[in-house]
Formats: sequence, structure tokens, C-alpha cells
Amino acid sequence: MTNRETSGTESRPAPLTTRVFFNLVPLVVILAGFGLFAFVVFVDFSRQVRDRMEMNQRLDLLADQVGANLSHLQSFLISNEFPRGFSTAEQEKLQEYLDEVTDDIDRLANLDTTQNSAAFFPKLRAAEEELYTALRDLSPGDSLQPKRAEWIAALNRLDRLLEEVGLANKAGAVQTEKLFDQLHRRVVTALVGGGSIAVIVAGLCCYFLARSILRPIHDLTNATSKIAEGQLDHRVSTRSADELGKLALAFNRMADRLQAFRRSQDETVVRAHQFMEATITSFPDPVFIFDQKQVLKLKNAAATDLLAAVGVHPDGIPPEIKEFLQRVFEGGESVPAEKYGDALTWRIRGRKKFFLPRAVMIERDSLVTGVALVLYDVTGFRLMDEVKSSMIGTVSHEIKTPLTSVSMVLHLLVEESVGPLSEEQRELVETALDDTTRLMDVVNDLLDMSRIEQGRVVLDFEPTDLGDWLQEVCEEFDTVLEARGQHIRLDLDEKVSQVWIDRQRMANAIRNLIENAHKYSPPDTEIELTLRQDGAERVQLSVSDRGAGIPEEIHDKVFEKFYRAPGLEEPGTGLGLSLTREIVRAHSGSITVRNRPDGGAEFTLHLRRQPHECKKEKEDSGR
Amino acid sequence: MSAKKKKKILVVDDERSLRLTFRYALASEDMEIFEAIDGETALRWLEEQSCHLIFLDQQMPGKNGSEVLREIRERGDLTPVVGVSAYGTPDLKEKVASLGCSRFLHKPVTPDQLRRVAQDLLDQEA
Repeated sequence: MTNRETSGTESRPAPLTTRVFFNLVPLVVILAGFGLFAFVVFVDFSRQVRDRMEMNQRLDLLADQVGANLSHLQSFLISNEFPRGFSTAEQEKLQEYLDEVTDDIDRLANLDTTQNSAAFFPKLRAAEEELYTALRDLSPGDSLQPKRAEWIAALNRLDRLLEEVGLANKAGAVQTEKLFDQLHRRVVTALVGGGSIAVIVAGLCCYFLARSILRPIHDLTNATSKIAEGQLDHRVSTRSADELGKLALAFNRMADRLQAFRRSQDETVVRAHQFMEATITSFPDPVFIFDQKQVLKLKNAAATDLLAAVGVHPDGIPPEIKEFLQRVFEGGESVPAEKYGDALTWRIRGRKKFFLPRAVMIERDSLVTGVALVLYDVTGFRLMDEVKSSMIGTVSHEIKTPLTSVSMVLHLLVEESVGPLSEEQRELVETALDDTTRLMDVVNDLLDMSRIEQGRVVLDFEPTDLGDWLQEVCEEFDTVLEARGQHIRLDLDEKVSQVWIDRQRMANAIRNLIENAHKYSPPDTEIELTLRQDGAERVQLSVSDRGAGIPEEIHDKVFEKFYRAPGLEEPGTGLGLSLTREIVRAHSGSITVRNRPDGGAEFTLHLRRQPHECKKEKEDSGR
Repeated sequence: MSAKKKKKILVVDDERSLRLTFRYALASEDMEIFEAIDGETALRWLEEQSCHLIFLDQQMPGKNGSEVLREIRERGDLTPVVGVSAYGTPDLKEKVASLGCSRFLHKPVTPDQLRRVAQDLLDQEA
């Protein structure tokens, strides 16, 4: 019941097999009809042929028989002169012959239906009648002589007539042949015509079958290829409700969804591209995007202006940028903009302009696909930096000279070379001397900083066994550390190779770190110095303490000039770490800070075995 | 006899306080300290007299340290010279060394340092 209802509500399409079957039925009917027609025509034809032939044969046989009987009669009449008339037996014999001839002619007349021979039958019958009448009246013993010539003449006439009948019959046979020809032609025409019609109908059937089955498949194949080529708006026309129609519908639904998906994807990409372009364009600094072959792919308005101002062709790239890119691609890593000394310079409208290049690698699946290059216009900053640096230099000098005499005076007083001091005086002078020394350190730091920043310091690189050298540096601190119950633990990897350093500057850097560790660690703790090889070309040197550590959020700031972490009680200028970083950078190295998991801060220097500058120097001196 | 043995030391610096502290630091029985307030004065003084050692400040108004040194050497005067500077870059150090500067001291200096350097050079000369 349920099944019947379901099947009733569904518009069930004619299955494909049914359609194939119904398409083939007309073909089968046509072929069967044509076969039947050919059979009927053939049977009729053969029947007519058989009838004709039979009749002709019988006619021939009868004509022959009549001819034979007439011959018997003739020879009977000619051979017997019947002088005495003929006997009863002879008459009976004659009568018998006569009857036979008569019967034969009758049969012949009945048989032949052809018009040609039919015309002879009245004559035949008349001649026969005449002979019969002549012979019938004879009585035995009658002289036959007088009548004989008459009989023979009658017989001859009959004979001639029979010959004519035979001729007519032959003519009839020729006619029959013609009739056969006609029949044959008609049969052939009928068969050829019927066959042609059958072929045409079969062709039409095949055409419609192919159209109804193969065309949708062909359409689907076409549509699939077009969609594969990217023409997502292509659809298949659905003509039927069968399996192919359903397939076409499903295909179209799939194409719809594909198209919708593609459209939303396209929109996302277009929007992202627009955002990106707007972002780059709104950037006040020149931005260039290069592909992995260093071909310029995109630039913003500021970049176009810069190229025009520099006097480079709009599609060209200034050699300074090319050189920088070359370095970036060779290094294979992003280059942050940091030192003003690295700025690219151009003379634009009579003024020297400084641009700090920052290169960001564009990577996909860890493959470099391009580089985004931003040129920060740092002309203003650079000038300020120069003014500041030269000011620091001048001010430091102006402070250092009077400080030298103050320190000399205090030294002379403490030495008591100008007279003895009381205990109180000594204490006061010593305090003043300590502060003067501290002040001098600050001034020296400032000077060093300004010199290094301006690139005025020429480092004196020497190959150094870091282990031994570190031990020497640390020994300086023994007394100071002991006062607080602290000590340094050296953890030195003996396999560390020789490193090229400016010993005096690097010692300053390490001293700053040890002093910090000393200041910010509680009493009776350990300061740890670790030296490790890091690959063939680098070493790592760490100084770690047992203090409170440094809050993560200020890790980046601790290396800034004059930066002092909030809440520090220990005196300091905020220059030590900054100077240390500058010294390490001048050695082509870097410095990082982290908090140890077990407490305390750890500063690590990442040093090259042979710094870039050192290599250059060696090359220069080698020339 | 003892007066004859006294070594003459010339301190050339434009800063009075430094000339004074140098004088006190170096003052001893066998040393006689002379002062010049700038390069011109020093050169004039040297035309008339000779000395055993010169402390020569590098940054001075008028003729600077290296110019004074060049003139001294051009006269054929081979008196040992100690360059003193508050702002001594390696370049400057190299330059004065090439002109015949025996030592170079960075300010600040301590009285001890001054005495050691002076003693060293005077001993060498002797």
C-alpha cells in the first residue's frame, strides 16, 4: 500500500532501457513488415510462374497427343484403301481414333485460355465436326474411295489448324516470358523500395536513439571540459526526466556551487588585494615589492615619487637598492632597519636624504617568494642623531676636563702629598673621589656610545682564546664580589675556537653584564658565565644571575639608552646594557635576554668567530 | 749639585686647574715644573730653554697639540713628549705617534700614572 502510494506520488521517469527498447520497436516492426511483404510477393510470383509453366506443358502434351492421333487417323486412312469398304472392326477403330481426337480438341479448347489460341478453337471444332460428320455416316462395306480425298483434305486442314494452335501456344509462351519479366521487375522494385524505406526508417530510429541518449552524454562531456577550463558559468540543458536528465541536473547543481564558491573566493582575493593596495598606497614611506627574481612587482606612490626624484626610470631600480636586495637575498633573512649608518642616501632636490631600508621576506612553505622593501625616511632623525652625537661628544669633553682636575686634586689630597688629612677629611675626600670616578665612568660610557653610534670607533680585533681571557676579566671582580659573598662560576667549553675581538671593548661589555649581575643578585649567590660553541662560526657567551629576573614586557627596552627599569634602587645611568649591545653589534654579533626557568636573568652574547669588519680589515691589509 | 740634577718638565695645557694638579702631582725634589698656557707660549719658551720632558695637551685654542709637536720636531728638538687628551681617538693617537710622541695619556689620569710615565721616560733618557 505504502509502496504504491510512494510510486504514485513520484513522477517516475521512463528508464533508459525502456526508451532504448521503444526506440528500437519501430525498427523491428518495419523490418518485420518488409520481410512479410517480400515473402508475399515472392510466393505470389512463384505461384504464377508454376501455373503458367504447368499449363504450357499440358497444352504442349495435348497438342502432341492430338497431332499423334491425327497422324494415326491419317495413316489409317491413307494405308487402307478400303476397296471393299471397311469392316466393322475397322470402323470401330476409326471411330475410336475420331473420338480421341475430338476429346483431345475439346480438352485443348477447354484448357487454353490465351486469346491467341482461343481464336482457333471454333475453326478446330468446325473442322473436327466436318470430319466427324463425314466419318460418322460411313457404314461398313461402303466404298471409301470417293470420300477419301475429302477426308484427307479435312485432316490436312485440321493438321494445319493444330500447327497454328501450336504456334499460337508458342507465342503465348513468349508472352508468358514477358509476363515473368514484368513480374520479376515488379518484385525487384518492391524489394528495393521496401528495403530503402526500411533503411531510412532504421536510420531515423538510430538518429533519434542517438539523439536522445548520446547527445546528453556528449553535452555533459563538453560541459565537464569547459568547467575544467574554468568556464564555470557553463550549464547543461536538461531535456528529459530520466537518468541522464537527473545526471544533468546534478551536474548543474555542482556547477552552481562551484561557481558560487569561486565567486566568493574571487571576492575575498579581490578584497584582500584592494586592502593590500590601499595599505601600501597609504604608506607615507616608499614601499617596493620584489619577486624572488628581484623583479619589481609593486610600488606605492611614495616609491614612484622617490624614483622620479632620484632620476631613475620609473621601471628601473637605483643601484643602491639593487645592492641592498642582493645582500638580503644572499643572507636569506629579513633585515630590520636599525642603524642610521645603514641608511641609503640620495641627493634629492639639492638635499641629502637618508632612507633606512627594511626588508621583509615573503615566504610560502618556507620558500622565499619575494621581498617587501620599505624605505623609512630618516633624514630628520639622522640629522638629530648627528647633532645629538656631536653634542654628547662636546659636552663629555667639557665635563671630562674639569673632572680630571677634580679627580687629580682628590687623588693628591688622599695621597697626602700636600699635607696630612684628619680621619674625617679623609672619609669625605674618599667619598668625593668615588663619586668622581663614577661620574667619569658615566662620561666615558657616553663618549664610547656616541663614538660607536657614529661609527667612529675602529676596533682593534685580535684572535683571542675566550676561556683564558674571560678568567682574566673575572678576576678583576673578586674583591668586589667577595664583599657581598658572591662569586663567579665559570662554565667554559674547552673546545671553543679562537674568536676575533677588540679585547678592551669586549671586556667593557662583559664588565657591564657582571656588574649588573652583581648589583641585582642577592648576597651569597652565584654568577654564572657560560661559554659554548654554536655551530662552526659562532660562539655563545652567557652571564646569568640569581636575581628577580627582568619582566618580559621590558626585555626589548633594557638595551635602550638611558632606560632604567621601574623600581630600581641601585644607582645607574641606563647606559651599560645599551653600550654592551653597541659593542657586540660592532663585533657583528647580537645580544639577547631571557629569564632562567629557575630564576634570575640571563644575557647571552652571540658572537661570530670572525666579525665582518675584521674580515674586511684583514682583506684591506692583505692588499 | 742637587740643583743641577733637577729634571725640567714642561706642562702645556690651557686649563689652569690641570696645570696646577700636574704640578702638584709631579712635584718632587729632583723635578722642576714649568707651565705654558698654550702652544705659542710653549714654543717660545722652548726657543730659549730646553727641558727633559713635555706633557702636551692635544685640544687647545690656537695651535693644537699635534701642530706644536710638529714644530718642535721640525726644529730638531727630540725631547720626549707625552700627549694628553680627554678625547683621544685611535686616529689622533696614531697621528701624534707618527710625529714622535713617546706616550699618550687619556684624561682622566691619576697622579700615580703621571709619575710612572715621567719616571719611565726620564730613566730612558738617562
